[in-house]
Amino acid sequence: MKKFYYLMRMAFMTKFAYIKAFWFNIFGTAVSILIYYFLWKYVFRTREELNGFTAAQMTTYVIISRVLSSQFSGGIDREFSEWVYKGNIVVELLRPVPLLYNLFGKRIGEFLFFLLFKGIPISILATLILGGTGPAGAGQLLLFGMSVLVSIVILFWIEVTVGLIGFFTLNVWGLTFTKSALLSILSGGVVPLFLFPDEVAQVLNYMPFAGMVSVPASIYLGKYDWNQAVQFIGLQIIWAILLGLGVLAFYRFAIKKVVVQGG
Amino acid sequence: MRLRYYGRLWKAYMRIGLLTTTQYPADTVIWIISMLLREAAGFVGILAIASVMGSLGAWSFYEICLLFSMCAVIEAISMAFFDNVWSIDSMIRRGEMDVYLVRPASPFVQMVGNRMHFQAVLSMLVYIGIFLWSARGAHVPLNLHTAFVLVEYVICGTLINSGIYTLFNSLNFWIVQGSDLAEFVQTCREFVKYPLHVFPAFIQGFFTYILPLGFIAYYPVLCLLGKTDMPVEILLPAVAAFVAGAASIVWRLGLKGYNSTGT
Repeated sequence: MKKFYYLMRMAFMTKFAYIKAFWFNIFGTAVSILIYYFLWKYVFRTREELNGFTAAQMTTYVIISRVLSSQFSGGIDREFSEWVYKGNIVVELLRPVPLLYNLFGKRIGEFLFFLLFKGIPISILATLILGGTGPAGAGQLLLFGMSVLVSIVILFWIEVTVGLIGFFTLNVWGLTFTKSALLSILSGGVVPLFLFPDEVAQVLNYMPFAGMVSVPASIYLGKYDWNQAVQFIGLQIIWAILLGLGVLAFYRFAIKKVVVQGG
Repeated sequence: MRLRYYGRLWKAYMRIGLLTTTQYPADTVIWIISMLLREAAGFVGILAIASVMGSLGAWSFYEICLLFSMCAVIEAISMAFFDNVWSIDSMIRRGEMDVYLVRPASPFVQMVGNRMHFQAVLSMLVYIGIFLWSARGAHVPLNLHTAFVLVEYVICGTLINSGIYTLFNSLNFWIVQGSDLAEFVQTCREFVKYPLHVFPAFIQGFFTYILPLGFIAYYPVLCLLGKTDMPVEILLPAVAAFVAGAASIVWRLGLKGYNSTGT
């Protein structure tokens, strides 16, 4: 546990050292919130509600979804693949902590940084300025937090997969863009999933991607009742475990290739 | 004489670019997919929102597609032939700019020629397809005026788009955060993919008078659809000349003050 704390701290401090660069990242998220805020505002000029969403609730959805999906463009996948190019992977494999443990520590550190310097302040500020609604209740807020925590595990597995594919294709840049674009569409980060055709929306609701934006945002807004919320979080946990097992198998296979290549 | 020399040079650069593209087929495929998906995220968003309303104010479904596809075509051209302006940052830091300075050709031509992405040309074909389909649906008149505006638009739009990227990336000569700023500008560019009239007046004004990104799609589309009295045919080359001039001045000034890293 102490090891994990230090790994986390290290990632956090590294991010903190580049806080100036992070400002532009924050502005970027603010811009994307504004774009969708104005688009939806335009829509709500002529109607009162949309599928149970009021204008204020939609504003909150936009804020939460844009903030949460802004995480998709970060992550450890690029660094992980870079280790392979530069050969650092040899050093990393020799460390006394397992590679994935190391990466997970880093990811959590990055997440904490995101939460502290972007997630919480931007969400609160944007909600106050743009006039969104608060959480449906204290219980919902708690479940929302839990859901976001589980989603980080799912996101981590996806990032590891992207990094591993980068071992073979040598083009992580394209892969990470593909990842972030696909994830924001499929998770409901661009528009709420109910706007997709019915069958598609039904399937997407139960995919692991929904757990990263759609589920937490819906819980926050009180769109799911207590039972549903707990069920969806349970589903997320199942996905996290299943993905983890799959990725671990892929990781064992890929890492052997790397060693054969000689780093 | 000079022009013929540059013609030969450009052809040689194109050949190298084409060879690179065909050398790594898997890489090329990932590139194309990632580029298409990057545009798709925004596209899905606006289509979903437009389908809720049936249209966006005075803008029909087809007209929104037209705007999006034209914006994407320009970005693809910029990506295919001018993408290396995004490397100014790393070239300065590594002192690679020196190489261009000691050669007889213009440093700018050498820099942008150094890396071409023919993959972007392939993804452009998709956007051109969407453009033709939506132009038919939006009843764009088939006449000389349209042809003239389109030709003018492709040239001037590319100049404005790449000019703005060049300008902001050239700031790297003076400040460390130059590329973060340029990336932020690129994020702001998202605004102009949507009909500007849905945004408040100050945003419209900003993208018309201060950062004239409105001219890379919104105003030309208005002109094609006959929705405006603005003389877009005259404004386009004027804005393009202005942006290209400003970018060229900043680039030259930066190059003048450039000192190698000395390592």
